[in-house]
Amino acid sequence: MTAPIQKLLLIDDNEADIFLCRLLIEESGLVADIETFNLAEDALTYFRKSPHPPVDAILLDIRMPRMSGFEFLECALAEFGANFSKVVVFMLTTSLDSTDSDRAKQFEIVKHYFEKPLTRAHLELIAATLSGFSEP
Amino acid sequence: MPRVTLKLLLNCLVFLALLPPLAFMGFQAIRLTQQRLDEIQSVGDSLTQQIGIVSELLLAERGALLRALAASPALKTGDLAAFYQHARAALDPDEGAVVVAGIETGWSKILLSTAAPFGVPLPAPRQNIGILETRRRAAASGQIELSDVAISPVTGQPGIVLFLRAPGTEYVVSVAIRAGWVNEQLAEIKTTGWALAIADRNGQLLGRSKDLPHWDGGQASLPTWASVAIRDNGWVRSETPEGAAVYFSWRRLPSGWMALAAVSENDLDFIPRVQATTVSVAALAVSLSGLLLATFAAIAIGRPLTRISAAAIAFGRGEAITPAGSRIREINDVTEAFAAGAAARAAAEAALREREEDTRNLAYAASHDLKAPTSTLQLLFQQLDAHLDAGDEKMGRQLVRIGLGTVARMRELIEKLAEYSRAMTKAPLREEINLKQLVETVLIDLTQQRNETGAQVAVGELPSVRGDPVHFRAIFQNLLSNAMRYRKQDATPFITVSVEDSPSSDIISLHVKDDGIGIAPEYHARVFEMFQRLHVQGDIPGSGLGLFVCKRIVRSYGGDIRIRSELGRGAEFIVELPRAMRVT
Repeated sequence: MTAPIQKLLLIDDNEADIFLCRLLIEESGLVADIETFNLAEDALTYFRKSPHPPVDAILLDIRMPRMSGFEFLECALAEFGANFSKVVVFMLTTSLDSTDSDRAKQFEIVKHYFEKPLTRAHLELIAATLSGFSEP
Repeated sequence: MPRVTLKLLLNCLVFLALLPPLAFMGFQAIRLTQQRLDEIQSVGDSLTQQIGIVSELLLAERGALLRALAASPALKTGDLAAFYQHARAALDPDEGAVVVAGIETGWSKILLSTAAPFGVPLPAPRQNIGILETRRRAAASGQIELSDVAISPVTGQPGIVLFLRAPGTEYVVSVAIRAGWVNEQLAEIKTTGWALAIADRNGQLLGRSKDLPHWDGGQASLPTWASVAIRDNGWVRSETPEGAAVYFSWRRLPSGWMALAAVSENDLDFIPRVQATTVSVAALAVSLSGLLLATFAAIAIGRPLTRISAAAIAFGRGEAITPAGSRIREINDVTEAFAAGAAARAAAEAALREREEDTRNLAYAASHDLKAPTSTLQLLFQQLDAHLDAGDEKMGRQLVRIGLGTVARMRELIEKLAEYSRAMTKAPLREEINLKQLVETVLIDLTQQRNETGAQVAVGELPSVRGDPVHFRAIFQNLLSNAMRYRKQDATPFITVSVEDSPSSDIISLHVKDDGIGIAPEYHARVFEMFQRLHVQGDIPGSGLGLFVCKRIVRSYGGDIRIRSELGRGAEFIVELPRAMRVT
């Protein structure tokens, strides 16, 4: 059985978060290939590389140095179009403040916004969303 | 005769040859004359209008009138009719007489304004209509002339004498008004200018133009209440039968008319008499003096009033305020008070906005940047639990190390926030601080970092300033620590601390300059924002608070902080302080 999420990108400036999320993702068995970046600019460089395999989902942190998650999304949409990834998921630090989630809702490509920390249930939700894409 | 015929023919030829240029010149002359006549006609027409566009006596309370005048939008548009309607609708007619008038001159458009109450009861409104009608007729028939400036014998002040030919075209009425009436006390207006018609106490008009010339240069007497001798163009003192002093003068106008003007030493006693005797003409004259008052008022009060009004509106909207620039001190005081109040309010609002922004940022920070390590730890403990269950001790130890790093970062964030909170909420001290000593102390605090990086720090002569040592320690601690932290890889940082202290400048600038990795110009503003960083923790650790704290502190002293830097070429942080802080 192939993993429901073939290619996942994780963009987060915190090395500890990346390490822990990677552990969780690898153990889940839901993701075939994972790529991590701790600067949004590095992720943009990744997309500029041609060719690169199609990206199923991006887990995106918001508060990052130099370029925020929102700025990354705007840049990527402008530069690579709406299909640069099937799904983008914002990883929110908190659900107490609606500022970020309200802003996230304005992007069609943003299918979910999860409150940290990442869980297996979050990954299953992404997998379910992606399976909806392949249905007619 | 052929010879005669030839001569005639020659003459005819010459005439015919000259005819076109002559005709041309003639037509030109006629055309120019016609043009000139048209010009004169239009000057006459405009003069007629200039003098008497609108004038009316109103009964009104001064304060209400001033307020109405200030509020009238017609002041700005110059629509006198609208202005008049506006004033009339707004006024309480019981308090006293006020002249509202407008005059339009060929050179400038002066609209409207006010004279204060004359302090005497004027004719009832019904009669005023008659006065207005009289004046309108005079204006319509073009029988008004303006004269020039004369020196008042009473005050020695320049005044203006106005002459007009009254309705019926035979009477010359003169009006005198003191130019110096514009006093800092508006209430004094009523004791100054007024008007006089030449009339006897029974209401019979004197001074018909055809009667005047025999006064010229000689002794003459007005047969009833005022006897006067006119010797020359100067003023002559006379007395009424009641003993009131009256001053007369006369002018021969370019048109050949003679005219008289009079000024009373005691206007308050005098004006009612004039009204009683020659209601229509005196009131006409009064309204004309009002016209002149209004002209002065337009210049001296009207414009400043519009500026006061503009200042009040600007104050309400929080916009910039222009001083009135009036000779009247109270008017200037009002606009200056508005301007000072607006400046103080703007400063307070700016400070408040900064505080509000800080509060919002702090709330955001508390729910994001401070919460972030807790979600990291939550995930970490879940993983730790799972890996310990699986007996993976190696991974367990790695997770514990990550956890300790996260806790350390959390601790630094909280300490920096506490530092900010202390710096901004405590009542600041105003002590004399020797900055050179202070920097040396900070460098001792930073010994460990200096040893780790091998940094060389050259501290130049620094001044003493008056301020809170806690603040300046925080500033130099952050700037020096940053200068070492953001060094080039494998390079030994060289840092200089210096001052730019020119007495000709109203600021003193403290410079902390390094030869580190530098900051690209597009990030210069961002680094001063709360929790904004340019580097990930893994590369160069930091809280994202240091420069924010510096900026807030410096701004609380009325100073500012800025960066001079390019990527890869070192950074220079410049703390600008008001020179007033310097201890000499």
